Amino acid sequence: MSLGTTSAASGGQLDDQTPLTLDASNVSVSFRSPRGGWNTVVDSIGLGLERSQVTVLLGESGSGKTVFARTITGMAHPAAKVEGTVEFDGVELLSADRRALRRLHGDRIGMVPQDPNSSLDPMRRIGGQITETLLQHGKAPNRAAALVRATELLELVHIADPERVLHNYPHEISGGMRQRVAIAIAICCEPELIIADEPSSALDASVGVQVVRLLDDLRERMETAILFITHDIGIAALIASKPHDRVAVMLGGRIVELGFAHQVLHNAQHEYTRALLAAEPSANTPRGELAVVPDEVRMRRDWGPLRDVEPGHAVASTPQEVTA
Amino acid sequence: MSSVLAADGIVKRFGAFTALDGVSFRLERGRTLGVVGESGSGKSTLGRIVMRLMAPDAGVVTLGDDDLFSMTERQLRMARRRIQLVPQDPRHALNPTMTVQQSLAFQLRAQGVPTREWSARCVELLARVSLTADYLHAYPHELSGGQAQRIAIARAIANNPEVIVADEAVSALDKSVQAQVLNTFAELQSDLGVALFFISHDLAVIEHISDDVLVLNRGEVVESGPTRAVLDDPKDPYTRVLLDARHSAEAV
Amino acid sequence: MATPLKTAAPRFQRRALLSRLPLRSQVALALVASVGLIVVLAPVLPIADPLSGSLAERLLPFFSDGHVLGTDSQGRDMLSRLVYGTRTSLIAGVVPIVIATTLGLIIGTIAGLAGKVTNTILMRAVDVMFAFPGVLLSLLLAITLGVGLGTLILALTLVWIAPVARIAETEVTRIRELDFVTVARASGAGLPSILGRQIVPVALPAVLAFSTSLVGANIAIAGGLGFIGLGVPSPEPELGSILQEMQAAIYSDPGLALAPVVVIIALSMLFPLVGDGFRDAISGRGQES
Repeated sequence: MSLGTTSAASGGQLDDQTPLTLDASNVSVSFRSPRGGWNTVVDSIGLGLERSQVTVLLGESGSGKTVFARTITGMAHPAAKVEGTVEFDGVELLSADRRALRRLHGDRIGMVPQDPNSSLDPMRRIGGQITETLLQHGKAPNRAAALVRATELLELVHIADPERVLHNYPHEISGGMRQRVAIAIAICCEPELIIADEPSSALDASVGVQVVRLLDDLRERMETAILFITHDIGIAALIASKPHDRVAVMLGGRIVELGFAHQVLHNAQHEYTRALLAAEPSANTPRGELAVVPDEVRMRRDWGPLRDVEPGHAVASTPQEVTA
Repeated sequence: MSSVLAADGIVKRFGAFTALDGVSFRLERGRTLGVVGESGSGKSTLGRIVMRLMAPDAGVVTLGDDDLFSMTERQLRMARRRIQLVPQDPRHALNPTMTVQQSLAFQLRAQGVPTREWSARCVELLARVSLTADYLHAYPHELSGGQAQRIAIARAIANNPEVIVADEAVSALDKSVQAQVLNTFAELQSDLGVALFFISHDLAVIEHISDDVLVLNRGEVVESGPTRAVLDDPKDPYTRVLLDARHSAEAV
Repeated sequence: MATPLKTAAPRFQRRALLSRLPLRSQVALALVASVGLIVVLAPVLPIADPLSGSLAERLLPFFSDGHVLGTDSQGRDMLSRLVYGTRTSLIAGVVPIVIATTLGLIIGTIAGLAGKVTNTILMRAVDVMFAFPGVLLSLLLAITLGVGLGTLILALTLVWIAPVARIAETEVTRIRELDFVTVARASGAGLPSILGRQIVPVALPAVLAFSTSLVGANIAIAGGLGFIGLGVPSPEPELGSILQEMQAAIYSDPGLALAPVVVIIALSMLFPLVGDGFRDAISGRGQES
């Protein structure tokens, strides 16, 4: 198993001996531009994911965070040109065939979608959908056993009366409950890796926080690696709650800052990260004086490679530093 | 008696569902009232009622000294200048078939501004929201979300309103862009003395921009008063849940 | 004052609508336009009379002397028959759509803006029209009014009002709830200006793209009716009836027999291409970076 990433980044990885659950190196994704040529949406990103660790991909719209996450799980857009390698337990995911991927998805890699409505079948009861996944991946010998396991799973995601919910159709339960059911399905095969793409953004804040806490709690119990995608700094801070959890800040298809959560969120070194943190509205900033992320920072695409600024904390050099 | 917008005992029912149940508030000249609540709290319905886009089943809305719902069509048409809307979704805030100038001019024309003044007034409005005159000829699809939202604000101030109703006006924007738009609102308020009726589910935004706050839960006002007082020492359990959600996210 | 925003001066160039069309739509438009030009100019073009022919020159092959595309079973010049036939087909294709689009747009807009009761009445009426098979309608009209171009146009108009009204109603119902319309209402703008400036122009691209593609369908249907003798009566040339007349030659001279089919298929494929291209160009899609 390969260790570390091929990019200069050691960000967030103090110990090079820890085996990685998933190791992405030099991943680039581009799409054909209507004006000819290629648009690079993800630009040579290297990132390793470890067990029991949360890695937050923090980025605004258009930063390429969702494209990157989909690509490294082998679900690249059919029209995309993908470069680089992604290794998951000895399997190269970018070149794996569909059947191999299908076996991994839902079994060893769980996905929590942004909108649970898109992953739940509206025409079938919740119970049927969970048991089917269990049986399909051979996690239960028969339907009765699968039903018992489904009940346990719903309890695990803090659903108070699992027996009733098993008999419900998705539209009969609330949005927060649906998202929990989606999480239950994502974890039903005890995956080594969970990819959660903005799982709280479609929910009310109070419900979203519960969903995030639930994921945080599950990775501890099941030692899962979690890749958590969000645009919300508050949510990033909430899910990356352990000292070894990491935050990767994405801008224009690249990671510009990578490190442990406390490093990135409390001692940000990259100018974009700093500006983004300062732009958070708060009662302490006088009205009209919120810091604005300068367009020339937000639009800049020529950042240098990641360099360590302290153990575990890497920052993309500014273009001036590169030329100097 | 300097309130520019006030409501008393607003009730709105949709069939058996009560969306608003006896909501009252006062918004003073040049101040910001933040209306916060989660989905289904009735905050958007309240926004539509104070703009007379929807009639309440009971209660009174007063715009300045006038009862909004006893106006004649003619009076209403004149009164509409005084209260303007900035909607939520930047993608649908502007008519896709009109240039920025046409969108702004439509507004000026609705309130009878003479044609010869349009062009200069449009440039002035764009400057107010920190955009250059180049944008006059842009179509909405050529604008970023933040730019579209600032044009929506320019449109709202086109006829010098007394109140702007902002319905989740920054919620769909990226954080870095959100700061720009919030600054634009604050600047207009201090320059023009316009009052803001600011609806949002985001407590951080409400905390930043509001002088007073109205917390709605299932159609009822569960808490109201000066922002600091309400958020520093919430009396209502629901407000506490909302604040907890925010503080736990901030804590680390 | 808040921080001034530093924004590079943007340029919003206006490219002509035609140049914003995708290449395939440009080609399709050019072809349709040339066909249109040819049929309009047909009377002054140096081609033979489509109605007269000599029996001595029956079924001449391609590239015969004086008849580039040969002649039909009555010795009439095939090129001329095709040109005039295409003219009839285009009239039968375009005129009903223009009328149906106007009426459908009016019905759909009223239904989309009206209250529940009016909407229900109008749209149920549209459903009934929808349910009535177009061919059956044409048949009935042909029996009661007699065959002819007028009957054909009437039938093809009645058939398409309902689908256009349906599309228009859907669009208007969607658009009237959009934020910019709400803002216009809340600003005290009157109904005529909201309708004329904010709603109809936004609904128009989808409706026009749909109607343009219907022209293609119409040409095919007119051809079909002509083939079974319910279109424009003989000897007036029409692509469907030409095809019917030429079917005897299908084994001896398949190229000659199939020429009208080629024109029908080509035209019915070109119109949707033009329509889609215009819709995308108007609504701004396809020109994003």
